[in-house]
Amino acid sequence: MSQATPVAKQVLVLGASSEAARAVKELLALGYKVLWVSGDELPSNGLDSPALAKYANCRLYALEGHVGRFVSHFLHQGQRLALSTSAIIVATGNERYFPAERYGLELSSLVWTTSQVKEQLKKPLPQSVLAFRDKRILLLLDWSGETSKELVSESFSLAGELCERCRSEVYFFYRDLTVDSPGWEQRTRELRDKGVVFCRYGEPEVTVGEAAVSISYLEGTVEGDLLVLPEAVRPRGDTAELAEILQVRLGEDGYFQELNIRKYRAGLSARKGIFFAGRCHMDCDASEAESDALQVVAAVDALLGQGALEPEEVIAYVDPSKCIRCLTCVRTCPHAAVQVVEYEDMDVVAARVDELACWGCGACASNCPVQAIEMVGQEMPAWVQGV
Amino acid sequence: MREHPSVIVVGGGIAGLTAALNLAERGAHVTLVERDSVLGGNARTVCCKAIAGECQLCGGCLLGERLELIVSSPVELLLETSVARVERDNGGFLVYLEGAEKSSPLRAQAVILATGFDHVDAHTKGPYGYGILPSVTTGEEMERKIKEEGQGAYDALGLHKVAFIQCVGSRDEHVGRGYCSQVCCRYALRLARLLKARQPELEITIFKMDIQNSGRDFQKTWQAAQEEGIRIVAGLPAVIRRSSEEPRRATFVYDDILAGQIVQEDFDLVVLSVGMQPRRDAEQVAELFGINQDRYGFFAVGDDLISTIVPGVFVAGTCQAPRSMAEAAAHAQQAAEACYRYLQELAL
Ligand SMILES: Cc1cc2nc3c(=O)[nH]c(=O)nc-3n(C[C@H](O)[C@H](O)[C@H](O)COP(=O)(O)OP(=O)(O)OC[C@H]3O[C@@H](n4cnc5c(N)ncnc54)[C@H](O)[C@@H]3O)c2cc1C
Ligand code: SF4
Ligand code: SF4
Ligand code: SF4
Ligand code: SF4
Repeated sequence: MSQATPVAKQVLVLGASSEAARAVKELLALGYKVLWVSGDELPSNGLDSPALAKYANCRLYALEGHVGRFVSHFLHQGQRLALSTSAIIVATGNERYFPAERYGLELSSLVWTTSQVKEQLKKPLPQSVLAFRDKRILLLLDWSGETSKELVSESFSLAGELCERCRSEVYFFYRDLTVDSPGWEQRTRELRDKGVVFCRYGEPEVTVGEAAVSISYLEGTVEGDLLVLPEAVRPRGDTAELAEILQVRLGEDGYFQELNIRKYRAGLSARKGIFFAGRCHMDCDASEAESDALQVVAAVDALLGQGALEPEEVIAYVDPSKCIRCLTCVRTCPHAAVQVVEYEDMDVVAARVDELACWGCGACASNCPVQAIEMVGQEMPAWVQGV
Repeated sequence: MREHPSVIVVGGGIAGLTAALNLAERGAHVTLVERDSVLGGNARTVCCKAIAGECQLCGGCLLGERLELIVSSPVELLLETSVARVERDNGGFLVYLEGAEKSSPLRAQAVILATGFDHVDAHTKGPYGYGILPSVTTGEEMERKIKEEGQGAYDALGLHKVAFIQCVGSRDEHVGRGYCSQVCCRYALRLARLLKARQPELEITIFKMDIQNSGRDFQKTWQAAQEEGIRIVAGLPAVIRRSSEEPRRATFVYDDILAGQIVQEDFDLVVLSVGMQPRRDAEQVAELFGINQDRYGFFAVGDDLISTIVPGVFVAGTCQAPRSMAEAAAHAQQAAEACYRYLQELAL
């Protein structure tokens, strides 16, 4: 039992986000074989290597096996596709939307989202710049009471770009300024130096007129040429379905949830061998998401890098002759390590713990109604040796 | 990769432990140098803020498992040891130690600095009367007291009104700390909820500039705190004095910005939410390894927030910038990744 099981250095990366791309790149650099799969198009960012296989527009419909030997089943261009990997990195990102209801405002020629401004700035000169040249722009943050670091970060960048490239006069309205990421306080200071005016509001009052917008707040009223509202992020629509297929947990907020706090390692799901990277499990901006991908790759390589896996020191064992197949353990295992299978050599159907997937938490053993599960250490009990 | 590249990790806090474990699991020979007689660093005084057994996800117990893992790992631990001198050696480093059981210098291809932070000294914020007024304490002291005496540490003190004052010694360019300490909003809100849950009659007010209410876990805490009746005021006092009516209490005047009022109020306990500052000896450590410090004194890094100007020297955790424990661990794991890739390239 304590013998190491050889595993392939082969990893599935799910998602088309920039953190997924970063994970792929890092894994390739470490000499892994990478299968990069997404439900959407994949970015064409020059990531090509004989060790990389890419599948765009693929839908995962089932997952079998455990750490070291997962088999993921996809639908790809009407075909079924089964991919074997030792670990899975989920980096599906989040979803953007414009929370029109929460804002109570319609988009118009005077009311833009941050993304619309970004798109405009990407257009060729001079249209890109002329749209904002010398205008007074009111950027209104936090209105909904929900802060997403990704949008705050983008709003900071946008305010800077508008000042520098377009000589816009930017007013940055906020309730609580988000600065709890390394370097962000410094960013706000640099924006002030560039001329951005920061205004704290209590309950702002927004008026959209014919040719101008205005915001009344604590210290008076500011009129401007354009109101810019950040969009919001939410879990992708397919997150819950994906969680069910992968048998990993979702948080109350609908994002992927990590392993419990006592065994917390950033990015580690409740299931051994399945990791979350970036915006599908944390509130962060794009560059933080990419850094997160790096640390997840470090965790994957710590797991697989030696080419072999070993079980935890203590794991659960089911005595198949005692098991009455009540499925209690299958349901109670927080780590999806138990299944009911056929023991061919004994000709019985009973629960079985995957020795590599088991964390040894003991939840199954304490809930089995017929005491068929025992927690075992390095020494195997006599009845296991017979199996 | 070379058979067993050697790495030295300086500092055995949450960051150093995480980086050392990751590299050791990947086959590097890791020596962890810790100047204290125990591992764990500042995380050792972070208390559990669970309310009646319900976890508040403060991160306080992240340390336990890492300590268990490190003692059963192949990482070589050198306690009560610090770095005395560093020489370049054939592309790597020759590190002379002080106080070590080992007398000969260690050879390593790479170094990870994880020397952590010092608590901001609340005495430096003179007008707040810390050290003079008996009713003025700090978040650090409160964490420590609860850790040592248990969650009931403040139950029998006859408190009626408690104030938390945010950003003490942080976000203040005038004192050379124009950065946010990242953790003090989170620990203050959680400590406030813990106190309130044990003593529902307690009136708690948090005085803030901006609450850092981002993050998945924290938004819940923030909402819960407000629902439980913890009052949040936008505005910080300038001076804290002894109350003239009741000398054991403290009093101060504040400008409630959102309400547009100037108010004077007395409190039984004022908790200064102090943050982090660079280690007082960060300059010497930077000099030993030939790296730079940023304008505040933390170790200076490139855009990846990990690499220094010296190839092979990486930084992890709060010695680079303030972070929570989970964030320090994540940062350390990124540092381990960068370090591993560096070793890989060296070997080619
Ligand atoms: C008041 C307060 C409350 C907090 N509460 C929380 C909380 O509730 N939750 C949370 O997640 N975080 C909290 N934190 C933050 C938490 O303390 C840090 O995130 C964490 O301790 C950082 O770990 P580190 O490894 O980066 O640094 P440290 O913990 O400082 O570890 C550094 C280690 O390096 C050693 N060292 C230093 N210099 C040298 C040298 N020259 N040679 C050898 N060894 C050296 C030190 O002895 C120490 O062991 C709080 C912080 C404060 C200030
Ligand atoms: S001990 Fe039981 S419940 Fe816990 S991980 Fe193993 S199989 Fe699952
Ligand atoms: S709980 Fe016990 S009896 Fe029920 S399926 Fe699991 S091992 Fe069998
Ligand atoms: S995360 Fe914090 S509150 Fe939760 S159990 Fe750990 S120390 Fe206690
Ligand atoms: S975390 Fe909160 S209290 Fe601490 S410095 Fe930042 S804003 Fe101020």
